[in-house]
Amino acid sequence: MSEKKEKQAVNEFNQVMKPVSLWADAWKRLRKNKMALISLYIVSFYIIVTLFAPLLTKAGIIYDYREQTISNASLPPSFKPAGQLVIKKLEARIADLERTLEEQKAEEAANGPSGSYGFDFGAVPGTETETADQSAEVDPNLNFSLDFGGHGTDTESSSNPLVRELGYQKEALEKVKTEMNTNPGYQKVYVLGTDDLGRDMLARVIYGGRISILIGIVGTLTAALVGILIGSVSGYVGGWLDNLLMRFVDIMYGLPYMLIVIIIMAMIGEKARGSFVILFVAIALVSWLTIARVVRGQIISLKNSEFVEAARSMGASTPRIIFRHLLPNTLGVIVVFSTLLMPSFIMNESFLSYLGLGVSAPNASWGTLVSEGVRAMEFFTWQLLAPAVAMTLFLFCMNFLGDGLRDALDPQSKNRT
Amino acid sequence: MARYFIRRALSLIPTLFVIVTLSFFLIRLAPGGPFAREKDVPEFILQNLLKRYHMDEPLGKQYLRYLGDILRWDLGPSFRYRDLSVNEIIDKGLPVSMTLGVTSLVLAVVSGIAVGIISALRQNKWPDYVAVSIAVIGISVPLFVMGPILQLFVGMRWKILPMGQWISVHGIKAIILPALTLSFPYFAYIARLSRASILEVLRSDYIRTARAKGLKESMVVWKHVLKGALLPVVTYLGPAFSGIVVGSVVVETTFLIPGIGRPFVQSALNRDYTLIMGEVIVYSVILIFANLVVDLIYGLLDPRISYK
Amino acid sequence: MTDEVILQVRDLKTYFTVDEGVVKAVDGVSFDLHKGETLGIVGESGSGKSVTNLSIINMIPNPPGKIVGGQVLFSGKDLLKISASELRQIRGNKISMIFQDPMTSLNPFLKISTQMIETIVLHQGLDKQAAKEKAIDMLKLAGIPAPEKRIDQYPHQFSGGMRQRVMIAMGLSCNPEILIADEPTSALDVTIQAQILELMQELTKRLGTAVILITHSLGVVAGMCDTLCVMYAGRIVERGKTDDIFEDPKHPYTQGLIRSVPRLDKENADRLYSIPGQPPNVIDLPDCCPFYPRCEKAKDICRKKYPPVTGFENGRAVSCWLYAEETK
Repeated sequence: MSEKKEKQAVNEFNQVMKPVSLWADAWKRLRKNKMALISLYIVSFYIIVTLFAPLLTKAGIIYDYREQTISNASLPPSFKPAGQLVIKKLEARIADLERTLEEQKAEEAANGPSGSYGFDFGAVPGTETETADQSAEVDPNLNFSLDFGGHGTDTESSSNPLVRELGYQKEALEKVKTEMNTNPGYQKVYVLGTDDLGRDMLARVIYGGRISILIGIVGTLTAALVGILIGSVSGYVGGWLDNLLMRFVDIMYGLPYMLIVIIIMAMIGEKARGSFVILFVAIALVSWLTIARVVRGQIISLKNSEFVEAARSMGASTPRIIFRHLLPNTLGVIVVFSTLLMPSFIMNESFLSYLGLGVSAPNASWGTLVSEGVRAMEFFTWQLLAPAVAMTLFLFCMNFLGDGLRDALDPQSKNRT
Repeated sequence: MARYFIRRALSLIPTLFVIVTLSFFLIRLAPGGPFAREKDVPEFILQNLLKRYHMDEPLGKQYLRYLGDILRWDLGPSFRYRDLSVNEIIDKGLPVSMTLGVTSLVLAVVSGIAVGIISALRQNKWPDYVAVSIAVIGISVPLFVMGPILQLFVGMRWKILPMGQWISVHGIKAIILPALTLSFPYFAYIARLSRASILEVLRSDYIRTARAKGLKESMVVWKHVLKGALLPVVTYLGPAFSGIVVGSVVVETTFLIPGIGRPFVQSALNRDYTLIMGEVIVYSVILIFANLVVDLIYGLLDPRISYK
Repeated sequence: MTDEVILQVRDLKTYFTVDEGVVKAVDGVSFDLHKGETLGIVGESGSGKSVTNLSIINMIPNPPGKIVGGQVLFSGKDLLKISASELRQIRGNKISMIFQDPMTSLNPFLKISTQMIETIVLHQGLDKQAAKEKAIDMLKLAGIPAPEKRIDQYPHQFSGGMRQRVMIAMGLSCNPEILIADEPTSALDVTIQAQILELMQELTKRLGTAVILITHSLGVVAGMCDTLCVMYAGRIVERGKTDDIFEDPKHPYTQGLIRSVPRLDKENADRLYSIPGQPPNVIDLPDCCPFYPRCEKAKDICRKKYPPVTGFENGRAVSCWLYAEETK
């Protein structure tokens, strides 16, 4: 056999033995799982972007999510500057109006003058069209007439609201065209479109993610801590305490706890509802159950191991045994279930926000954004799809990552592929 | 066996009691009475209202009165909808919600197990990857995203199925989209669960024995594997039904279904005490009963329990 | 035991591919089995005994294992080459296998009757009723009291020893030519062990079944087996009649094994002997005699090359450089 370096351990056959720690082993296994690895990258990307969002805004890479540019309201996603999109929108509206007017005219020609031009407060049905000059005056007894009169428009009458609107739109179109290169608002590029108040969807989604992910992380940590505490004490001490706690867990498991959370959140009142803390507590209250059970299970199976006996025989106290000996060995399970808890937490939070019981304005989490998007989904689909896809992708990757971690840390586990 | 059943049944009574009591005190003690929203009501009218709903009595007395009412199944008048009683609201909506819930559950279970089986038997081949991915999507897409998206595409754009409202309006087609939405996450979880369970059983010693006896693989799977592998799925049915109940609140809202889920959030926001209480009790009873049935089924299926 | 050879294993090789390398669990195993013979395979954990057995009926889980070479000749066919359906006709029927842990080897969700009847119906073509009667007969033979009642029970209603009796009954129900028993008593109490072994011996002698018995216990072997194969690190290091081997163990490993058995007839309470060292980690084992690190009599060549088989009279064979000619 060839010579081996001194430092490496060698077995009786002169084969090199590589020492492998649990984590290194797990990392190796995780790396092999391509989907989990991709998920890890995606999740990290999300976390980094949302974490540094304020910096990115300051640096001008993303727009400020609070900034409302009404003239840019409800623009579809595009790489073109906003001005062009506004123009397109106006042009589409104008064409639409013109077409409707054509149809009206045709109908009139066929059936005689129709009586209604829509809501018209002052005009008498069948009134002749006014001349351009007369329409220059604004008659306060009529409804608002935004007829600028005489600028080469086709508007003949201020009694037909469609015609008036046509005029207005054409005016607006001209205005935009002239301001295209001077107004900075029109030069913005909204990659994910805008909402109905002209706020950049990309920025809103990123900041929404910031809130959702933040809630997810903090909430998961809280729930995990509670779960670990209760689970480890229950498992180690055993006896009536264990029985009591586990009965409690069983009862809570059977309940439709989200319904109870809904009640709690609704009862609390708007002022308190805005507080994140209450939100954490409410959701965490029901999320610690699985972790408690899992930790308890691990502790029970480990507490009679020899290393625990050894520690006890050397006089270690109970808390010491729990924290320094048992828990590090349960770290694997804790990590796995925490990773799987986070998407669940975020789901619960966005569920509440969707119903209006979670994060309140001006803060918006992904749930809030989806809720707003649903209202607009028929015409402005991207307002729904942007937050929906962003959130789903994140949750998907977290779940995959959690699965991957579970396989990596415990290859004997049931869910192994 | 009968003892097992009776024991399980009895243990649920304290649970119900806890829920009822907890809800009562929770709601009574929350800030802001039911009339907090109304404009300033003259004092004597306020007193009359309070009296009518017995809210002027000491808390303990209210509680006892409340317990008595429940035992008689009189859930009281709705605070919000003054001319409707809670019983009426629930009577109208409950069959609808139950239909939706049970349909979703059955859909989830049947398709979940089917996909789980296919996936496990074709492990690591493409049907497996597809199934696993769909399953992960299923548990990642929230209900309130899935619903509107289905509405948007299947209902609005492609106009295949009705976008909302119930069978009375659109016929049986109306149940498809809401049931699909509601069942999807549970279908996904059941698929994963049954897949994992089948894979684990396939590795067990007694399957090795079955193969060593020369049995055909199909017989091994159908006769030997499935019975044991599906037990964890039965256990999951309890939490699944619970989740469907919670999810129905959102789905009913999204699809405008006249069940008892839609009034639920409203009643919470409106502080319609009696309606919330009534709903909580109804939900709890349903769930407790469902859990009991699941336990029973499990006990029947697992010979280690039914033959002591 | 007759001279008729019913099973011939030739140079069987089964390898497992794991992340760290290739585990040569069985690396060139050869032996013959005669009609009615009880052959013991002895070795430590990890020596390859169970894998050998599973390989014989071609039941190695395909990833990560694979039978990469050799032949298993039975009834004129090579079991490693025949079709799956032909193989299924042999399993449970001509060659039966029972396993170590009766708690987990029986399906907890099916009645005993179901599990026994399906084999009989499958292989012997009887109808359910007739098959049930046959099964009851087998249970009676296996010493289960009130078999007509107990056959309709579930496995968890039997004790450990009873369960193993059921397994044996099930294994012998189709009157196989060979019964392979993989450590059938290791999971049982010592007192029950003796009963089960006695039962096996009696039934197989009565039915004329050949037995391959895998065990790590020399005591079991001494009582039951006509011939013996000693396995180490995936290979057979010594083979021969049990009595011969016990009288005159040739391979240092065998000698060590026999020395390790505590004996009542030794007066002085000497320290119990155990073979120094550990069984090898068989991943990527180099070409050498795998026992050399623990061998008192190791020579230089033991480190470099695997020793060839040296034959002796009466079916005796050893793989050891102590007896083999070193060819350069």
